[in-house]
Amino acid sequence: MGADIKILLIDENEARAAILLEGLSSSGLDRIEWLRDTRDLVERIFALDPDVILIDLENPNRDVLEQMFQVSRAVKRPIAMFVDQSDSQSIAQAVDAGVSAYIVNGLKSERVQSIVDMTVSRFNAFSRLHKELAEAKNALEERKTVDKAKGILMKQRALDEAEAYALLRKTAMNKGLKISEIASSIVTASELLG
Amino acid sequence: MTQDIQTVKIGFIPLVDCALLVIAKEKGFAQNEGIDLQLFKEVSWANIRDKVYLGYLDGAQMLAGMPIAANMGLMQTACEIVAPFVLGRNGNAITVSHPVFANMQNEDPDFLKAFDLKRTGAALKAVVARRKKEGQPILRFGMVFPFSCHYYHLRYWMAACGIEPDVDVHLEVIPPPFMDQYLGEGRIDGFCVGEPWSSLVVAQDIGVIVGATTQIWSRCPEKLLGLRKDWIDNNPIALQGLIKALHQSSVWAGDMSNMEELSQILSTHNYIDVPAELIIRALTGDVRLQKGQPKIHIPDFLTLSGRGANYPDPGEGQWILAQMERWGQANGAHCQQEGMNLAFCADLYEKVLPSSAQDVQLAPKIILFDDIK
Repeated sequence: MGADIKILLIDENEARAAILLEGLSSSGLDRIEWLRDTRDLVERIFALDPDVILIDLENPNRDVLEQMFQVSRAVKRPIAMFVDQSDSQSIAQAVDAGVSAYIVNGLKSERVQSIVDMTVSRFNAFSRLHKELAEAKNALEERKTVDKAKGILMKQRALDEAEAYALLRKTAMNKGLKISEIASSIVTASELLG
Repeated sequence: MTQDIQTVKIGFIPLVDCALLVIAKEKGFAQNEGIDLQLFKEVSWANIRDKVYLGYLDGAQMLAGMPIAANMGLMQTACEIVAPFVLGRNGNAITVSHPVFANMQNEDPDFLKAFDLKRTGAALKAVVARRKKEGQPILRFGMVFPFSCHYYHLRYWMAACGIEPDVDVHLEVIPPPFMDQYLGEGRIDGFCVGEPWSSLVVAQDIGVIVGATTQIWSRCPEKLLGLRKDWIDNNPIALQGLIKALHQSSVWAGDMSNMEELSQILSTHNYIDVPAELIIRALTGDVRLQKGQPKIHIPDFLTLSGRGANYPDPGEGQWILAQMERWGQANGAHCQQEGMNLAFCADLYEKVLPSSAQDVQLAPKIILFDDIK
């Protein structure tokens, strides 16, 4: 990758930005600016004069960049969407990953391709991580709820722990629900009804 | 009735004029036509365009300029778009900050009471001239997208009132949900945006509504249902069902007694996520211009229904194209009639809704506020 390429990253998510910045700089790209807030975006982009702009797809300020294509045509160096219009697979990968990339016209697309590939893979890695964390948190919550429901059953029905779990499991199977869902309704009912 | 249910994926932006799409889903009109209408809330017009292009969405609520820009090659990453249904006409307000409002009042104390766009424009022009004389920075106005009626309306109105849009003011794109914050922080002096964002600014006492785009041209098409052409070609039955469902939505929305319910539906988290009390203002045209003042009625503030409102008239699209040319977005080379006939696809509308197409004869002629045809 060309070390001379100046990259601007616009991302409000600090953790994701850190993952990407690490990846880019470890492959020798150290001219990276990261904008977390988008105050005076257009002026700052002109001042930074980047070759590549990477922006989170869920950032409404993409529409601000759209205007720059119009305005800049007359005023500054034109900025264009990175991906070749025939290369819709490449855009699709970026959309799946939740990122959009723009380059300054004239920069050879093969030089940018590796930057975009890196961005896509880091964004994907981040969302995987994010999903795993959410799942882990969810699993922990579910286990807590099941434990609580077991406790309620043990107390109210005078069961031991294995019997309480068996009852939960049987009820869940009969109703075609998850054990955690049955557990959650037991906990809710117990909270409501004392 | 046994009928295959077909899924149709449509994107929208949280604005009051997504109403007909939402009604089609929530009131069961789409389902009655054999359509599982899935609505996807998007954060930017750029996302809408890209996701329709890539097939993530079959179509979307689009700014009236977008299908034209797509078909005439003015936007990158766009495919041919067919827009057979107008989802709303006008519905945008022009709002200024308190300091600018005070300055305008100094020039013409009763301009807001008159609520006449010529007087409002004259007051703004006087403020612009005074600022220039005193060496103050030029006023900054926000709008939402380069190919939006907001952009063309602001420019049209300002130019007609003697304000040179490229010299005397600065126009910039700002996403609607940020308008109130930017105005409050003084980063912009005014904006033109769809509802409920101006009413939200008034409710927070950050600014004052000084005009409505319906005052420029009461029939201006604002949003259309734009669909990817290859989707249209491959899904004739779903397309027909979708247009019929939207027509049912439009009939339902034509009954003012439904506006309370509609505002409640739109206010939910899935859609606009702003209190119903603010949303209903655009739906009824009873708009509060300034905090603490009574509402006024603005006729045809937002038109969702009636008098051929949903008919995509290529002649009306021509006005938008003329604005694109006037402000340098397009030139004669871009302007193919074929692209316009898809971007305002009257043929499809007439084919599916032959009897409603005749209602367009009831529509008022194109009359602009500065008396120019």
